Amino acid sequence: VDKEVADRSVLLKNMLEDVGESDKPIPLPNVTGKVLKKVITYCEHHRNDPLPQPDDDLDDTKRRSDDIDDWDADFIKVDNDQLFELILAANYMDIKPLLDLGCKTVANMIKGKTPEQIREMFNIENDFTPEEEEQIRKENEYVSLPLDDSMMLGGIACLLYYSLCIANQSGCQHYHRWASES
Amino acid sequence: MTTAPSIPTEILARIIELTFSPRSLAAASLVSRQWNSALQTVICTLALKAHLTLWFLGPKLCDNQTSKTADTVPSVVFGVENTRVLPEFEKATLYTPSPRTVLVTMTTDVNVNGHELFALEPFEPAEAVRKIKNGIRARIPVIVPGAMNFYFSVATFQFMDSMGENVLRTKIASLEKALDLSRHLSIPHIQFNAASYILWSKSTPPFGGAILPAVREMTLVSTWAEEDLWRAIVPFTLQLLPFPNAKQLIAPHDEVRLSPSNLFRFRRTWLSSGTIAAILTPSVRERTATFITIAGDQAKYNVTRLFRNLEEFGTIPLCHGMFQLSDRHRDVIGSLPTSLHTILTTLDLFHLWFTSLSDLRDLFRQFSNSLPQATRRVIITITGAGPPRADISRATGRKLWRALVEITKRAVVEVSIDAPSEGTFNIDIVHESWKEQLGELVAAGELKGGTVILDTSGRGNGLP
Repeated sequence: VDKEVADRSVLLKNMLEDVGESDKPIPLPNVTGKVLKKVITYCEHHRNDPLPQPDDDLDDTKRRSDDIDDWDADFIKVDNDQLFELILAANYMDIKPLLDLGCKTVANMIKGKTPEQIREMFNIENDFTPEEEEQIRKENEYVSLPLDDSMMLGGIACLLYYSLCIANQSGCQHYHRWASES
Repeated sequence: MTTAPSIPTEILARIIELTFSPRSLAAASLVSRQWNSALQTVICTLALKAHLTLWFLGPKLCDNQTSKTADTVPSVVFGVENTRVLPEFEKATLYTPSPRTVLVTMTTDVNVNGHELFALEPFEPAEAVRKIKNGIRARIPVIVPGAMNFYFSVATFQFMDSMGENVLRTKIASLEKALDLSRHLSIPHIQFNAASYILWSKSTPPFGGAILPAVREMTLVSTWAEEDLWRAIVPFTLQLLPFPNAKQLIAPHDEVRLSPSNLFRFRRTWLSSGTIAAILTPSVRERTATFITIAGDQAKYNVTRLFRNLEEFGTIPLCHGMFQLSDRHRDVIGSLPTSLHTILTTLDLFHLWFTSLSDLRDLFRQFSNSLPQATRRVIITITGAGPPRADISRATGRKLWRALVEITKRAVVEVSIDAPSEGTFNIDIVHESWKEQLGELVAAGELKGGTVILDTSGRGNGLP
């Protein structure tokens, strides 16, 4: 692998700078040969891309999952085992664009899925107790309420509020304003 | 195939964040303990967007409550009205510096009245802010994760009652407290009604209180007299308000923006020429790049020669050229600085219908010849009520496109129609018909492609 390709990995780049010009092999104990081959394919294709900058995370476009280009989308079409191995390798070798690609791919896979479907997809064990699960479901009400229900609850809240206003007379102007705007 | 559990929690958090969907967040929280733990690191960087309204009661009621509350432990009670949580917000997810992402929007009016402000008095600002957030959390009709922030998009200051001098000091103190809370809540948008703004201007010194660096936008809501508008626009242009980063002031019929290069853009104004002349001090004129007024007689202002950095100017009513002997509009155009690159005009649809093609061409030729050297963009807004039948609209459109050839020799022309759909005059049909005719003339080589643009968005080219 030539240096330009190796430099896509911050880990390798730093190691190469430390050892200087040398023919000695660099050990990558956490990456299998099969995955490393795939990583090299990625780095070779992206060898001329600008290197990621520290403030890239502040860029809104870097925080989308629907902006994967065609080559990358084709490249990442692998089974789940290999997908997670690629993510781990990218994380270990510090190749941020590849890590982003892997994360975006998994994010796209879990979008719209239920917890049960996600567990099944990635073979994850449910280690919650029924009580814990019930508590979390309650905490998630804010996103799982149908719109009409939340509006109805809003209406109920307003009625309760009106009742309170009448009860202590202190907030009657709130109600008048609310009523005039409704 | 035990894959996901071997992924470090911080990578899982990144994956979950990338879904940008409240439903996916909810699902992720229930997958496993590790996924739930990853979610917790994400969720505290997200926020609910809330619309915060600071609302003040009348002095009598406020005083009564104040004395009643003084004997009890201060408690903050908030009215939360019109709550509407939008569960699926991913398509319109907002990005903010802090918190990084507003994931769920909640259109909610949160009322903080004078009594409640009094209850907040003993607390340090940070503690007061925490109490406000807890007060909202306790009263919205859905459970929100404890770690999730509230992002307050706007604070509205509304004084509904007349203010006697005896309560003025109390009122000013309340307003300054409310502004201080807005500062600690980093609210980017402040709204005033006329009564609250006038009260603030009467504080000592005027516009007292701490500087609010988060404020980017100031809006004047409800009804404002012209004199009061002047009192608001002048301090904004002179940058006397404690909003050092405010970039725009928007009133019901007026809008002033500050460009990145620190130039003023008067995007629209309905103020009278006298008031405008008072606002446009020499230093403001020097820094004005855009000046667009609806008033039809710009010659009255006699200010155009003094806009040395003017880039956009309007609105010139072109019908004056057709039906009046006055050459005032030509005088105004002739006096514009050479830096002007965009000029906005209006043309009445009814006048357009009555005018012959040759007269229209003559008008456009004269107009085009008198444009400043740098002008490359002419915006024409077709206004007024439409002719009664669609077939007449067709003839009118064809006439307009043919006559516009005269202006396209100098500039690109953008045309929009700001006429209401009435009776048989259907704006969508007119758009369709005019677009088709424009295409035909371009295909026939009578008009060069791209030199005339028909805007069918209905925005009226941003004209007032």
